[in-house]
Amino acid sequence: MRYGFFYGPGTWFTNAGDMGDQVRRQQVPVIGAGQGVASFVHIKDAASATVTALECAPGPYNIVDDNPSQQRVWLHAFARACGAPEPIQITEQEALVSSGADSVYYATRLRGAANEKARHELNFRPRPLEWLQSRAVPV
Amino acid sequence: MRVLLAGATGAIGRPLIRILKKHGHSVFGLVRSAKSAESTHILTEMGAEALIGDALDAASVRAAVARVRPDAVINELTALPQHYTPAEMKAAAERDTRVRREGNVNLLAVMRETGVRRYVLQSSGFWYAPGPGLADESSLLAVDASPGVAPAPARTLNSSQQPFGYRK
Repeated sequence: MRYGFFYGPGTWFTNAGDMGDQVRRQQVPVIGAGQGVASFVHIKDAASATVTALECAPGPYNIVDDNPSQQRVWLHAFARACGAPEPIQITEQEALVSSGADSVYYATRLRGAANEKARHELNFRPRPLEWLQSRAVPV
Repeated sequence: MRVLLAGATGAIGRPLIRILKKHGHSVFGLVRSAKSAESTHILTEMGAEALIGDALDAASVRAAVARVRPDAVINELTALPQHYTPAEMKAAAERDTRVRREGNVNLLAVMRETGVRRYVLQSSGFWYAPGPGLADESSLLAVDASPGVAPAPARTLNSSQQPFGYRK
């Protein structure tokens, strides 16, 4: 199961969770152009797909939602949904010093994933990424 | 189906137990003895049975599998930190890698011995090598990513080549 970044209850990415706190403190910056594309998946959708996988053809499956988005896009939307101020933006060089190479990689180089195989083989129908869809606070 | 779940009390373990139960499966959660009381309580509340065993200890995995005789094993083991900060991720990286790699090897070995035919393993859909558009399951993995990231896609590549193999 090649899951996207988990969000929802019990994960880092909730309003009340660790990332919610960090964006409210403006500790998560857009790095460079924030062009890295992240794929997310709601934790309950990931769990459903995993149960279906008990009886599917063997092999890898991307378990990601239909809204892969660039870091500058999802981070702004997530911050809004959490009632946080706009994220700050720093250069890749600044981020290398303050956050390290991995943070730069995730923010600028990440490639999103397609879920066609899971849709077809597992009848996977993930919910839309909650904080991109509305101003509602993710549960 | 009788399902043995490693990583039963984690972020995905808990919703997974609820859905497995809803589908009528019997769920057995592997619980390390060091934290067994709290974890056993959580699992029992959700209608799963707690099995004492540590995925890093092959003998204890063997004993658990022998007792349960599962039809399938789901491996959701990670050692990710409570806080998603560069510092905590770095501090947790070594144990996370070890738990995933050795847990995978131990579970697969015992499954082979006992003839368990179905294995579902946690991996990630964000370890594909940079490239245009979206990656599908045949896309290259980011084995030359930044130093802290690269071991994960490399491990994914290895676990895809484990004994069960798979058809494309």
